[in-house]
Amino acid sequence: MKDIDLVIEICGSAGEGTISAGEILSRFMSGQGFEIMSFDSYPAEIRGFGKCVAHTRLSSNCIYSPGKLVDVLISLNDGHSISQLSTLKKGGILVYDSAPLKPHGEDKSVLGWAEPGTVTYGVPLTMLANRAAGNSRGRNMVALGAVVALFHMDGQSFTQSIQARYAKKKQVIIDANVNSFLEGFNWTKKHIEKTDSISFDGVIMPAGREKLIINGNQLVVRAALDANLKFYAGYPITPATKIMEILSKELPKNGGTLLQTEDEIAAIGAVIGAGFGGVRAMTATSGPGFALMTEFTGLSVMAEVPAVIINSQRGGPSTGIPTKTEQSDFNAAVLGGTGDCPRIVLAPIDTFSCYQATVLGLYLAEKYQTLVVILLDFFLSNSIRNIDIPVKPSQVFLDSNIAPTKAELENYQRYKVTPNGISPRAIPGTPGGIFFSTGLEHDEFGKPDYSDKGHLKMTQKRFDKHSFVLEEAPAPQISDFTGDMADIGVISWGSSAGAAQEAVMLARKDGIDAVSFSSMILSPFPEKALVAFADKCKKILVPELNYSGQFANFAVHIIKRPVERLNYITGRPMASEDILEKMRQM
Amino acid sequence: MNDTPFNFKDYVRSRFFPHMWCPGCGHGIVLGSLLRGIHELGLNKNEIVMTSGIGCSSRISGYVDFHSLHTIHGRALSFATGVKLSRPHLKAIVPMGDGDALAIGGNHFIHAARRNIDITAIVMNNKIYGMTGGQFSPLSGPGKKATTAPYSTIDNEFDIVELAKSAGATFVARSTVFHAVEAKDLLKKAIMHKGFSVVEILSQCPTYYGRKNKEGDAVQMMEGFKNNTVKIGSKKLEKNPNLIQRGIFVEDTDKPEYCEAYDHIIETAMKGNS
Ligand SMILES: Cc1ncc(C[n+]2csc(CCOP(=O)(O)OP(=O)(O)O)c2C)c(N)n1
Ligand code: SF4
Ligand SMILES: [Mg+2]
Repeated sequence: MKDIDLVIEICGSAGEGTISAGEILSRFMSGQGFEIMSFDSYPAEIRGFGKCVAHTRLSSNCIYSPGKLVDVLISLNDGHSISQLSTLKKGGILVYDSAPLKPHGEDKSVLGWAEPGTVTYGVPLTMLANRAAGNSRGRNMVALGAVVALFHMDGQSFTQSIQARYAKKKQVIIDANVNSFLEGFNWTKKHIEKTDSISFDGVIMPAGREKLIINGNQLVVRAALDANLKFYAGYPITPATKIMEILSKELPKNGGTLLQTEDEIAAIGAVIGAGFGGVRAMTATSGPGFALMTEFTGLSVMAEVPAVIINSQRGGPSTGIPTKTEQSDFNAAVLGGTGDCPRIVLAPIDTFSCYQATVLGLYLAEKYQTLVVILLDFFLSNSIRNIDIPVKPSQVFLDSNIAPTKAELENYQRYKVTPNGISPRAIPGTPGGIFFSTGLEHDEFGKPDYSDKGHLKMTQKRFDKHSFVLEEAPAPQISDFTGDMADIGVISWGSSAGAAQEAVMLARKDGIDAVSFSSMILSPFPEKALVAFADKCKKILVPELNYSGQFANFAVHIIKRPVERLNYITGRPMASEDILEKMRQM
Repeated sequence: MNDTPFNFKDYVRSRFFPHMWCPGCGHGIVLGSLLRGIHELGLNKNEIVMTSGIGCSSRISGYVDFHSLHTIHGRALSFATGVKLSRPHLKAIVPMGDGDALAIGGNHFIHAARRNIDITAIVMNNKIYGMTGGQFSPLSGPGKKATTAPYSTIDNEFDIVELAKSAGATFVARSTVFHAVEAKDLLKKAIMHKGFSVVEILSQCPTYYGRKNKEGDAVQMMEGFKNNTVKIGSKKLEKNPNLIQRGIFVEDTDKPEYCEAYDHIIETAMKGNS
């Protein structure tokens, strides 16, 4: 069977229906059984008229990364699309408005800027939209019609996708959109002579399971609700705000409480308070807010109170770049803060694992009575995938507090040192379970204790818990070795992992003997597994989205040998093409 | 005073334009009033330090051609306090959003007022977090819609004037962007006042607050400022006590200003040294 693997971008101005056109296209493709990954970029802040790009990769196979270069660029706006041409592949396809409202010279038209060899199709988007609905609003649908006709997609089903998208709107709006689509479709069939080779003819995808079209932030919410979240406190901050916005609607439906606090310090304070009260609680933030939470995170660890923080990374430091993706909070999450402060850090490696990480995070925080940081980033928070509907967590994952027995409540020692470091935790209100908690160093009763022996004993206890955490976390994903040794091992984390895994697969096809290692848990880190992996690789490469190689530095310290690095901070997600290129040079 | 004609371009950094505000945003009117006021006062651009936090309102510091630093969300007053204590002869002006000033920055706000340090805080109150897309703020008040309050808000709001008064600010005033000339005159007084001065200016965010709360477009929202506010002590209040009052609520020149008070500490300490 023929494979399809295409990257399509729609580029226009805010208000031109760019994003909704992308959404309809990816929903349609998902319905047809393809895998999709889409990622929209908006103007950072010039409100009302900035550049929008809807980027979608669709494939008949598994997708690991959004794809760096574009096969098809659909231009709704010449001005904006000119700068987008640089991502179009050599020999790629450009669909543009051949009769725009204001005619412009070659230097202003996207056609004039296209590289020689680009396959260009001019469609009179504005004219056809006007013909269909009496105004030019349907240009985006005309463009979709043209693309569906050009690539021999199923026009009938596509019409249904458009109807579904606007189902809640008035009939005139539905008709206007459908008619614009049909104008584009029919005009293209009649007037355009196809010179490219992309065709969906004969591509039959097996009827897939029902899919969920969702982004990381939405999935975090779904997971948190499935995992018995009962309290959320937060302060708005891009790219994490959506989590709070959705929860403000959903959490009360589940009998839970959402509090919008005056800042992030208050948010994490309330989360730790609710955790102390015995309910599952979390907050979500980004760099500046995460920095503010630092003092309270120490309290969570010291007083052994569960707390979960989602940190969706942006470009940093300080306010940085709120709407760009970066992986530069590794150090802050894994190593940051004061004192000897063990904490759990999870970093989902793709959209789907945002669900797993959230469920696991809430479970681990409650069981190990500690701080869990979940590192997302702008890309994971906002990129959209079609995934299998996640299986809800089993009962074990919903209630993980280890409560004291009757006997343990006799002369109750809240911070009792036990073989696995977990001291049975009474929830306030438990008869006999009264205790004192403090951020001061303390003894097993919670009584402040500054003695050297006491400090050592309790510090050890807090660290010891962690060796058990690793046993409960998913093992690192390691690709198969072909022999005893591989030439290149690629170690990756977070949203870069998909691109790394894909690059390794591509490299192997190219005859490069490469393997990959990625771990969702960053703290405690599966050090033994990493050392064993590295021992079997001649060279190691660590790609990540930060400048200083934060994770690479961490890995070097574990495997005790130098590594090759690939770092960039362009604000774009990691690209498998770049990793592959780097491997070729190694 | 300055009688030369006002030229907007003399006071802004043109390379920082176009500005990022939505069409119809009230914040640009505040910028206009402020620059006209500064022009009329005849202040030298070099004598002014403007610091701000993060928010649509806080972007003002990027557009003006004064010494300026765009700091972090809610903390501009703490930064300005350092500037003022190190360079007391400079005028310190801090434009703030309602969230910036009174949510995350609430603590710094009351403490700057309590110290009575010579800083002018301009609170551009649009009752919403504009920058992050329409979450409620501590100024929204109960019964409002916001992206984080789909079932409507239950949080009570602050009264900025009362808060500033009781925290110790020695100049407290309120106006709106509909009353741009009045706002300009109040800003002039606030800037020349020695001590902590607060000017609340009601501003509109048609994009989020207006849309969510069905208050119409920018023009309708500004008409709201006209119809729902009155000068302090107006007769109209007898009929409708809910009208919001505009004008100067506090003007106290007796309380010592913080930098000057500290000069006395230095004087005393140095006497002990010699
Ligand atoms: C520590 C921190 N938390 C959150 C944010 C995100 N943030 C930026 S501006 C803002 C609120 C803006 O509202 P307001 O101060 O009322 O100003 P407006 O945009 O309405 O003028 C928020 C929450 C941030 N930059 N830093
Ligand atoms: S979002 Fe609101 S406050 Fe921000 S620029 Fe737009 S109108 Fe102004
Ligand atoms: Mg505001």
